[in-house]
Amino acid sequence: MSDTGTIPIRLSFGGGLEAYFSNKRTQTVQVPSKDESGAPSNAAFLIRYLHENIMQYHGEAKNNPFVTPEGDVRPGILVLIGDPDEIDGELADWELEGEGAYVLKPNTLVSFISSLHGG
Amino acid sequence: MNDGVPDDVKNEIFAALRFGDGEVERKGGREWPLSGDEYRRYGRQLIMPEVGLAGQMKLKNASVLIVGVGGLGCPAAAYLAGAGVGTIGLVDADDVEVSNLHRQILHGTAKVGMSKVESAVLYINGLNDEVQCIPHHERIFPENALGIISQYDVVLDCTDTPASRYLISDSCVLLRKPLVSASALRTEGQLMVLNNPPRPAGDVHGGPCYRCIFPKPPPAASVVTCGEGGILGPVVGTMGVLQSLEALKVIIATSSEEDTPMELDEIDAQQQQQQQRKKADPPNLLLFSSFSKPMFRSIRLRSRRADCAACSAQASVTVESLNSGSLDYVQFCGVSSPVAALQPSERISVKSFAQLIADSEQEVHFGRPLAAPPVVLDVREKVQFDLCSLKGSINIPYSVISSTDPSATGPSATWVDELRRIPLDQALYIICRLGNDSQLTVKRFRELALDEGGRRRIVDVAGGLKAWRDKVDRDFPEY
Ligand SMILES: [Zn+2]
Repeated sequence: MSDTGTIPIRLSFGGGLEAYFSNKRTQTVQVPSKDESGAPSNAAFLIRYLHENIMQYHGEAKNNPFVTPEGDVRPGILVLIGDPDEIDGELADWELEGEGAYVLKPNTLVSFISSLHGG
Repeated sequence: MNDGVPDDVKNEIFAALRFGDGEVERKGGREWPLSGDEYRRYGRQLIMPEVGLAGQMKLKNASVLIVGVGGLGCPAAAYLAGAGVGTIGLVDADDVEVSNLHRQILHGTAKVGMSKVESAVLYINGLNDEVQCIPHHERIFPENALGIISQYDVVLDCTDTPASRYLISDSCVLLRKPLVSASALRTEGQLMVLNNPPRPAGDVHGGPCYRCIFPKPPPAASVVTCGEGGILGPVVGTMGVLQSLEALKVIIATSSEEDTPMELDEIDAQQQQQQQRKKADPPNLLLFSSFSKPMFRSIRLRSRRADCAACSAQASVTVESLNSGSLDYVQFCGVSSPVAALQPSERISVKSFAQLIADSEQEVHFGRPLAAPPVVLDVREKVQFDLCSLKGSINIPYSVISSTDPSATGPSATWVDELRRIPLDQALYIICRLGNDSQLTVKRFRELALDEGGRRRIVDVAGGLKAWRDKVDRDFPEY
């Protein structure tokens, strides 16, 4: 991994969350390769980074559609990770990949999908 | 045995013959497991190795419950009935409305006002009178869920609220029923086969339940209904059709020890069954995004959660807790409270608002209007504004308003600047579809200092265009 500062992360949004990310279902963002403490950036850092730097939301924290006031991903959102080193590149529930501790690699695909309820 | 017939075909024939006990037709001394009509009706799926005679017999003996006879339940019911599922139960308390018809394909214009379950039974009987339909004209509640679901082999969750989704999943875990769960909104759909295999709570080899995937419900305010967000018919239809497909697969894959043909090599048959059981698909979520490429994505899901409230060894959801009513699903999922953000002085009724408009349109004796025309800001999304709007109203979508940062320094948004140019003695009247976003807009406008320190009135038109149609203009379109 490079020390040059940022790594590209591929994002996708679904279930309505795209509305808070420029209405784009997919986009690639440059994310600092190290977190505030100098450790390699992980999925938990990515969520914090997206919330503070990329997301467009200016309402009350309790109604934030992406993270809870405590900074966790809000209930009802699935976080999915596609590890670029895995051959099939299949997306998996991040709980299978270490959740917030998953260390980001260049071109990791991270997908945020809000559950739907209509029928 | 070496008689030139492959073993799997033989297995199937013997199995089918056993299934047919007591239901065989006698013709010319031969006994057939299906009637001549059934052979003809199901011929196109009978000749598929995935179904075959054994599969068809399983379908015929199976019972499927469809909870919710709407955009998902209608197509699911149609395909399950067409395929010859023996018994189909239908749960819904609602009546058919004209706004259902673009997607709920079992109902029709002539059935508006009829109960959805009755309409569905009529359709299914017309399609295939071999199918036994059981209508449950009621909503699913903790008090009736176990009683209804226990009568069926497989359950389809075709409902539209988080509360019903948790209730149905919990019930399926308690009763050990596989659950095919789907949902849809706007251009997207989601599909999961849950509790499959339906092992008892605490058995780690069982499939995950809805709570394993979503331990906590989303905040009520974040839940968008099809009525609010919109839904494309073929999108929800696709999900309903996929639910029927998954249900057929679950039924056909069911291995039933007691049906093992004794005449065949028993060890072989048992091994086959064990292999089949192992092959049960690992849990996954199918995402359908109809305006993306690719349209479909499959996500690997976790297995059962070790601390799941429903399906783990330490489950708190029990038959007793469900029956006693101590599990309140509506409270668990929360209720989105109606917006009440404003003082009475910041609101106007649609009737007074209509009078205001009438006054401004009326010429008085000295050739001047009684009042200047009110500035009306419609905060619905543009696509809705384009459908119908009040004469002279200006569209600023709430999504634009809410994404404008009031704390930002530097140049403000163009729309804010334009509103500032309106003379201070002109009030701003805010209207939306139902009267919620308009209240939030009044609050947000104050945060953006558009009230100029109280020198400009910003007024919510209470109840929105719905109230306008109900109380002022019956011809204003309803959508
Ligand atoms: Zn569970």
